[in-house]
Amino acid sequence: MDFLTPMLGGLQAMLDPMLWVFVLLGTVLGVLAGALPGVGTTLAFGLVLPFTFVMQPTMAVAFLLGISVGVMYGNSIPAVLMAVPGNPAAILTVIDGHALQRRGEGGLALGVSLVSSLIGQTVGTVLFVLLLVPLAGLGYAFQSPELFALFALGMIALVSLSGKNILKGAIASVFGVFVAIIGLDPITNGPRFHLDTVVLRNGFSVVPVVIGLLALSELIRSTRQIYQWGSGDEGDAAARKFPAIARFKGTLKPTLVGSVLGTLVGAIPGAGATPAAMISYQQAQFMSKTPEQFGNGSIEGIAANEAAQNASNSGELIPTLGLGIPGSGSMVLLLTALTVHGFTPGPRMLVTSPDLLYAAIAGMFAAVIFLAFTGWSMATLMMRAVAMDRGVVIAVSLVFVSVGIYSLNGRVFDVGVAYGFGIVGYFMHRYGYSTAAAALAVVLGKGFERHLRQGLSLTSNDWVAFVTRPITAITLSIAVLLFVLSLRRVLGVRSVVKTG
Amino acid sequence: MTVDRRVDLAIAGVTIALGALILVLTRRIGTTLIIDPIGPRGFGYLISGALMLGGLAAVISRLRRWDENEGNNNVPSDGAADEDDVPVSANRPILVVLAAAAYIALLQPLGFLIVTPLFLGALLYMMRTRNVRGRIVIPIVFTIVVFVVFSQGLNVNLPVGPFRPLFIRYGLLTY
Repeated sequence: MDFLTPMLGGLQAMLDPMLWVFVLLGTVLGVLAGALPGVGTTLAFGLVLPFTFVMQPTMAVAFLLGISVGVMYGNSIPAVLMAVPGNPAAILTVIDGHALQRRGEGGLALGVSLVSSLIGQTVGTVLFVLLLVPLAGLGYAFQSPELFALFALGMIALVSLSGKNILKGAIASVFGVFVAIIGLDPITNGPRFHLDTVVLRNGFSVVPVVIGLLALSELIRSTRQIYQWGSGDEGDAAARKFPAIARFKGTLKPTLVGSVLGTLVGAIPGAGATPAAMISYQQAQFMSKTPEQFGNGSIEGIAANEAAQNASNSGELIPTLGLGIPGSGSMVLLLTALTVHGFTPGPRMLVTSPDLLYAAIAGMFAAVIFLAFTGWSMATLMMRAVAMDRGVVIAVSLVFVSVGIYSLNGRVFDVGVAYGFGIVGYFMHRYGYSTAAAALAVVLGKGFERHLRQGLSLTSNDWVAFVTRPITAITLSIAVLLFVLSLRRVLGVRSVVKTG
Repeated sequence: MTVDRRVDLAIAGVTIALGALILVLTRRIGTTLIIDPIGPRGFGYLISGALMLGGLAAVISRLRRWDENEGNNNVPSDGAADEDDVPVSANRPILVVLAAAAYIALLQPLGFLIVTPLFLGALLYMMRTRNVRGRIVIPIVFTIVVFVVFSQGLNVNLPVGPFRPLFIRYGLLTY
């Protein structure tokens, strides 16, 4: 596979009008989810995931990516106008964007945010294809030892997702692996940990468990407090004019740097949009002629971090689609959607089902085009959405998730499982046990064990032969290196936080 | 944000208990003639050991800091923070879960069209939605729209409970 094939395939996929319908729907939902504080990509994916199972797989991918593109733009709207970050990645937008808003230049902040988001997403998508294409060539070189090494690489993300307390993060990860291996043994086919019940003989379905841990737990936690997001009159974007092109001077360089860094950082399992935005912001400040403006309304800062947030979307897709390794909660759900459709994401999928890759490219480009035409006016619309009754949103979301999970297999048991894990996730959230780490471990755990044991059988139970296969050795070395770096980063951040 | 240190300690204890349970269940897994160095019990032993050790470390970590708060059970949380300056209800999540349990139990016998508006209405009441009329209108409209979209558009067989004969008679249900 060369670079042009997927790009042309993506452009061809954009000729399908149904794809546009799903992307438009996804993008609007995404901007809404981004604008509502605390919702974000993972919860939005959790809400709509069951419905993607009745879509064609390509439409489901385009729809979900439309949401993720929309979220990254949507979170900048309340960040600029209300100083409320839609999600953690938008914190830097609050600092500089709201500083401009206080000076009566909110329109400039929103304009820079929109343009840099679109450029970041476009550059990120091109880089995504460039970095993904070499992986497709490895499709048939991957047997169990190599696949085990990939799963080990994915497990590294658990370190970054472990939350404030690394011990509790580790416990959450081990718990996730346990949930994953309940059911039939991958080698002997004998039942394990099923408590002599028929329903657990095949283990838990991944979707209710993951939605329970990631979406229901958060919704249940949200019911602890009653308040409204805003009155809707905090800022009328329509009253502002889109800034003149001349006012964007100086933002192209940080936008491009943010786009490249965002894609690369996003591709590291467990990193995601927040560190991508932070690193790009720091880099932009380092390169700026006016570094003193950073933190006081710098449009270069807004450009760098907004571009990086959107580009990290594309970056996260590289390990997810290319290696079958999700690096974040939302990617866990995307991978789950593909698995339910019968796909096994990884190098082989790129060769056997290139349509999914084309749909991913088409979904991201279509969302960019849609936002280019509507993003500005949507800012006004979303400020009204922020005035929605939060209680209604939470209540409707809870019922919506319940119905969606029931519709998967028509089993009330699945709804019970989702709520069961929602309750477990609620306590995990409150007491610092990372639900994202547990959910990722649920998705990766079974494959991790299966490929380790099958791989050992393949190498006649010889551990040395197992780990010295070229791709396995390289991948495991990268995994070890990333593990050490992630651990250092996590511990470093914690010591900085502790020392204030 | 603060949490109750006794609950934090209890969760660490539950982790140890879960590890012990997994150990017991692992020992009950049958072994077969298929031999691989890890075997069907290998991951079970690893997980049970990790959970017991991790839980123990969490217990020790909590107990070592027990005297820091001078008898106050509320300690800083490692988890997600509540919004500042907004009253917190610890009972509301319990009520929501109880309502969900009732919904799950009654969905099959009473059907989607009866229990969904009741469940949503109860949730809206618990969340003290501003518009009282909305508490009645939203559940009814939501239920009808979702039912039509799912059963007609997405071909999902939502349970209809006592309406089943009626739906079959009018050809709306064939299963």
